[in-house]
Amino acid sequence: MASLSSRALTSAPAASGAASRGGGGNGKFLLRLAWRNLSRHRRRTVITTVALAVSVAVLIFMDSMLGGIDQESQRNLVWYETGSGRVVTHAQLEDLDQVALKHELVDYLPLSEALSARGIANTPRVGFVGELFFGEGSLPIRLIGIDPDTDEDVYRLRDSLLPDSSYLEAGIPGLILGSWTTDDLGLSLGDFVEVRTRTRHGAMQVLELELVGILLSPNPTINRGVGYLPLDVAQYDLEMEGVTEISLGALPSGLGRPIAVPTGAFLNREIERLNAELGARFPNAAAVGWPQLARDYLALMETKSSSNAMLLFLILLIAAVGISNTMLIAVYERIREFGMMRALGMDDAAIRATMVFEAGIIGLLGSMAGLVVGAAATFWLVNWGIDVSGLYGDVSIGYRVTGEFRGAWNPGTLATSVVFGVLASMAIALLPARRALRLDVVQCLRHE
Amino acid sequence: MRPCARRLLVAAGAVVLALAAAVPALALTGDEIIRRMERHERHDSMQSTGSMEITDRFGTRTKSFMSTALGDDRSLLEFTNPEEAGQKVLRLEDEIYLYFPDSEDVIHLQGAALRDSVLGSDFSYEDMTGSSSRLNDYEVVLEGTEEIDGHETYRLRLTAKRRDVVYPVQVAWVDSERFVTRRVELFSRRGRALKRMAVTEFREVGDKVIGTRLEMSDFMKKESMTVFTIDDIAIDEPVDESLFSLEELTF
Repeated sequence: MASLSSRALTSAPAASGAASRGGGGNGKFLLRLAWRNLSRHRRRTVITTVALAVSVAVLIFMDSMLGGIDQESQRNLVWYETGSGRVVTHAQLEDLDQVALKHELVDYLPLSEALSARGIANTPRVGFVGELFFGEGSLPIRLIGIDPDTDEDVYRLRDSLLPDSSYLEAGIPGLILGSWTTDDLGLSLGDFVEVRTRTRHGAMQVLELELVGILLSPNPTINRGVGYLPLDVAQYDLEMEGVTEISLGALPSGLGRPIAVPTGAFLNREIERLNAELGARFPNAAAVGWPQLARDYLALMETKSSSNAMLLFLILLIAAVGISNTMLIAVYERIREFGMMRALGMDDAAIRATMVFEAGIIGLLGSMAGLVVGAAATFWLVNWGIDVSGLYGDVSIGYRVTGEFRGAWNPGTLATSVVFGVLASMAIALLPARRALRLDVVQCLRHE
Repeated sequence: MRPCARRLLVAAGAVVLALAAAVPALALTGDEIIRRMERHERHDSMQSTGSMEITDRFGTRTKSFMSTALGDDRSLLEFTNPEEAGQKVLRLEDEIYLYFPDSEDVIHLQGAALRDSVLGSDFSYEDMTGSSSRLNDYEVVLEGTEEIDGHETYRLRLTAKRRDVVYPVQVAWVDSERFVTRRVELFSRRGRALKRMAVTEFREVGDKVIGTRLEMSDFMKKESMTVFTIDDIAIDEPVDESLFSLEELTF
C-alpha cells in the first residue's frame, strides 16, 4: 500500500495539474505519463511487447510464404503447362477441358508466322491421351507432341532434364517423361515403351517410343502422368496434318521487355487485340489467356486463398486475444492506482487516454520488433526457402510448386501489420479502461 | 521315259492334285464367308443370361448378367451379381447409358469415356457399339485355311475401308464347316496386335450356331483375360421394345 501510494503520488499531482491545462501540453504530458507507467511495469511491458512481436512476425512470415507459393505456382503453371496463352480452334474453345484431336488447327504454320511477326514467341503442340505400357505395368498418360526447335521459346522443359538425358529430335520417336512416372514404372533411359492411343479419326494406334529424357521440374503436374514426343512423330502416328494448339510465350508489353507471366487487364487486353487481328486472317482460330486454361487450378487457389485468409485472421485473433489479456491484467492490477489518481483530481478522460497511450506504445514497440523479426525471416525465405521435399516427396498438393517453398515480399502486409498492432492494442485497451472507470473512487481505492 | 522326266511328271501331278483339293475351300470369297458367318451372329432379338470372369494382375472376379438385344442397335445389359446388382448398361445405336441403382443416377457415356472397360474387363463400352455388318467397314481377303483347335478354318484378313474404324485390321479364323468365328485378332493402325478373342464353346439354337464361351485377352496387358460365358439363350423371340428407353432404365 505504501509503495502504491508513493508511486501514484509521484505522478498524480502533476497529472491533475497537467490535465487541467488541456491542449497539446496535456497530450504530451499524458504520453510521458504513459511511458513512465510502462517503464515502471517493465516486466509486463516486455511480455506484452514480445507477445505482440511474435504475432506480427508470424503474420508477416506466413503471408510471405503463402504469397510466395501463389506467385511461384502461377509462374510454374505458365512456364511448364499453359504458356501465357494458346491459340486453338473455336470448337476447342467451347470445351477447353477435353482436348480433342478432331479440333485441329491445320493452317498452323502461317498462324505461327503471323504471331512471330507480332513479336510473340510461340510453338505448335499436339495434345492427346493414351495408356503407357512397360513391362507388367501400365498407366494412363497425357502426351504432348512438341516442336524441339521452338518449344524452348515458350516452355522450360529442357532446363528440367536430369543428367544423361537427351532432348527430343525431330523425326526420331523419342520420349521424355517426368521422373515420378519413371519411378512408378521402373523405367530407365534407353528403355522402349508402348503407348496405346487413337488416331485423329479414332482408330487404334500403338506408338513405340524410346525413353531419351527424364525431367524433374518445379511443377509437379508434369513430373507424373505427362510425356513429350517430337511433334512430327505424333502427327504421323495420329494421322494429323495440323496441331491442337499454338502455345504463346511472353507477350510484348511495349515497354521494352516482354512480360513472361502476363496477368489481369494487360493479359485480357492483349488476348482481345490478338483475337481481333487473327480473326480476319484465320477465322477458325481463337486466342485464349492462361487463366482460362487453368480454371481448375485457379478455382483451387480461390479455395486455398480463403483458407489462407482464415489462417491469417486466426493469427491476428490470437494476437488480439494476447494483447487484450495482458491489457486486462494491466488495468485491473492498477485499479487502486486509478482511484488514487482520480482522488487527486485527474479526470476519467485523462486516465483513459493514458491507458490508450500505454497500449499504443506497446503496440508500436511490439509491431516494430515483429516487423524486424518478420522481415528478417522473410528475407531468409525469399532467398533460401524451405525444403519441403522430405515432407511431401512426390505427392502433388495442388500447388504448382515442389521441393522448395519460397517467400515473397508484400510491402502491404508489412505496413498493415504495424498499423494493426498499434490500433488493435489501443482499441483493446478501451474496454478494460471503461470497466475500471465505472467504479467510483472509493470502490477503486478498496479494490483488492 | 528317263527317270528324271518321270519324277518331274509325278511331282507336277501331285501339285495339280493338291490344287484341285484346295479349290473347293478357296472357291468362296471372303465376303461370302463373312455373310455366312454373320447369319449365326446377327439376330432379330436375343435374350441371355451368363457371366463374365475377369482375370488381371489383381486376381479373378466374376460378374453375372442378364442381357436383352433387339436388332443390331438396341441392347440392355443388367448385372445380377451382388456387388453390381441392378447396374444397367443401355445401348441405343451408338449411345451408351449407365444406370447406377445406389445413386439412382444415369450417366451418358460420350467421347473418350466410351473407351473405358466394362467393370475392368477386356471389353470396352465401345466394343458393345457398332454391330453393323463387317462388310460395311472392312475389305475382306481370304488368305487361306488353317487348323484351329482341331477344326479347319478360313483365315480372313479384314482391312478397314475408312480411317475412322476403331480396329484398322482384324484377322478372323472362321470354321469352314459351320461358318462360326473361332478366333479373331485385332490390330492397331501400325499392325500391333491388340486383342484376341477366341470362341471355345458353341450351342445350336434353332438353325443357328451361337458361341457360348468367349475368351478375350489383351496382348498389351500381361495376365489379362475375360471369359464371357452364356448359360441360357433365346433368339428371335418377341421382346418388349419399351425396355430400351431411359424411362425404363431408371424404373
